[in-house]
Formats: sequence, structure tokens, C-alpha cells
Amino acid sequence: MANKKISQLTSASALAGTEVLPIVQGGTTKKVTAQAIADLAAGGGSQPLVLDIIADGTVVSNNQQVRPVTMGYITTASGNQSIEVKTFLEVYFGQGATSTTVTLPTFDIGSLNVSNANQLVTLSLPAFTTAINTGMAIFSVNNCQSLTTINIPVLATLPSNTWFSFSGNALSQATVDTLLAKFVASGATNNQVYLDGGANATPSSAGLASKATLVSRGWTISHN
Amino acid sequence: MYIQADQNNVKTTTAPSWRLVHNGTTVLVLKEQACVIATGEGNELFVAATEAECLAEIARLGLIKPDYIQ
Repeated sequence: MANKKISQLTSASALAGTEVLPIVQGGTTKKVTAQAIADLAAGGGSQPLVLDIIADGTVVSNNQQVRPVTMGYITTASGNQSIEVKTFLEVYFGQGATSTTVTLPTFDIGSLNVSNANQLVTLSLPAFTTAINTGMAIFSVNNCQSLTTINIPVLATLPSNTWFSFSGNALSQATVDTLLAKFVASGATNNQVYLDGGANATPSSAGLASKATLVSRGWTISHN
Repeated sequence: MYIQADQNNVKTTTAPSWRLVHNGTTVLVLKEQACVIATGEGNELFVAATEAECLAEIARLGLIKPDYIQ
């Protein structure tokens, strides 16, 4: 195999992830697996973070805890970021938490405020049925510059005469449309919703139809 | 300047400006935006070049400004 060009080698079959490739790191030639490279491309090497509503102070994984108090923080090199989940729990992200996906699998009733979580791409709330006003927050996700997707498949109940803000994210058109459709289905009235700023997508024709329904119910809608 | 309702009774604008939305009693929106904003029956949409103009309108009408609106 000596003195053979790469172009002369036999093509590999489908990768399993365990294959070893050479890299240069810090001036030294080292080996790395194909899976490690795939992980890096998928999300900067971070792992999805699944948080459950569990016992007070339980450590979910390194640097993450769930505690039933009032405020949580993500702290990274880019500055303070926070996820507050009022009513039931605090989600705490310690130094180095870089998850691009956050899932709260049993969070069903309460209020949620996510802000400035720059690495966050997907926020999943598969059990979230009811947003309530707990004084400082209801349902707001702001200034998460990478956030494209908010999964709220069973959200059905929202308060009226209040506001919801999703400004400064990178929400996909599907997520924008879904939020508007969920607001319509809730039957809530006289609210304000902000879907503006950042790289949030414009609503599709279906989203604009939802918007028209909401405006007829006294809502004020801001969108890109 | 107040935005007049269209044939669907919607008040909307896309022009970058300070926006004040109120219901005659309470401030609902007070924000500088460059996006689409739309509101419906029962609400008024006031647009201005400066925040000061919106604050003057709030004072003129004696509107309540909730704490969450800066």
C-alpha cells in the first residue's frame, strides 16, 4: 500500500462509525473515528438533553439538575443564558452545557421562558397542554438565534388578555404556522404574540389564515 | 398617526416605526419594529417615528401601561 495515492484506494462500503481516520490536532497526527466527525457535524459534539420533572435536586446528568424553584440558567462561554420553567421546577444548566436539543417530556401545565440559549436548535414539549400565567412568565422563547423548532403537539389551553413572545429566533415556517394554529385552536382572545426579529420565517398561507382568525378575535400579531 | 382599518377591519403596517397598540384603556404593544404588525377590532394602531411620540399619545389618552411593557 506504500506510495499509493488515496484516489487509487478501494472505495469503502457504508460506514459503521468505528472506522479510524487520521487528523492533525495541535500539530500532532492523531486518529479519530468517523462517528466522532459525524457527531461534530450534527451538533458541535453536543448530545440531546432530556429533562424530566423528577425529585428535588436530582442530578439528571453532569451539570444539569431539576429543582422546583424559580429560575434556571444555562451558562456557557458566550454568556449567561436561561431557561425558566415556573410553577413546578427549575432547569439548571451548568458550565459547559451545550445541548442543541432540550426536551421536557413530562412538563404539562405551567409557564416557560427560554432566552438567549444560542446553541439551542430544538425545544420539545411533548406533554405541554396548558400554558398558565405565573406572574413573570407564560410561554416565551426569545433570542435563541439557532432555534428552528418548537414541538408542542398537545398544547391546547392558553390564557386570554396576555402576551406570548418568540422574537429573535430562527423559527422555521412550520413552527411559525404551528404556533399560530395552536393559538387559534385554544380559543383564547385579546392576546399579543411576537414572532418578529432574528431569522424567524414568515407564515405560509395557512399561517396567514390563522393570523386573520386571531386578529378577528382581538389578537395583535407581529411577524417577519 | 393612527392606521385606518381595511375592508376586513384589520389595522396593519409594515413600515419600520415605533408602534403603539391600545384598546382605549391599556397599552398592549409599545415597540420599535420593522416587521408586519396587525391588530383587529377594539384595538387601535398608532405609528410614529419616535418613542416619545408614542409616550405622548399614551399620556394624552391616559392609558395604563403594564409593567411588562418597557
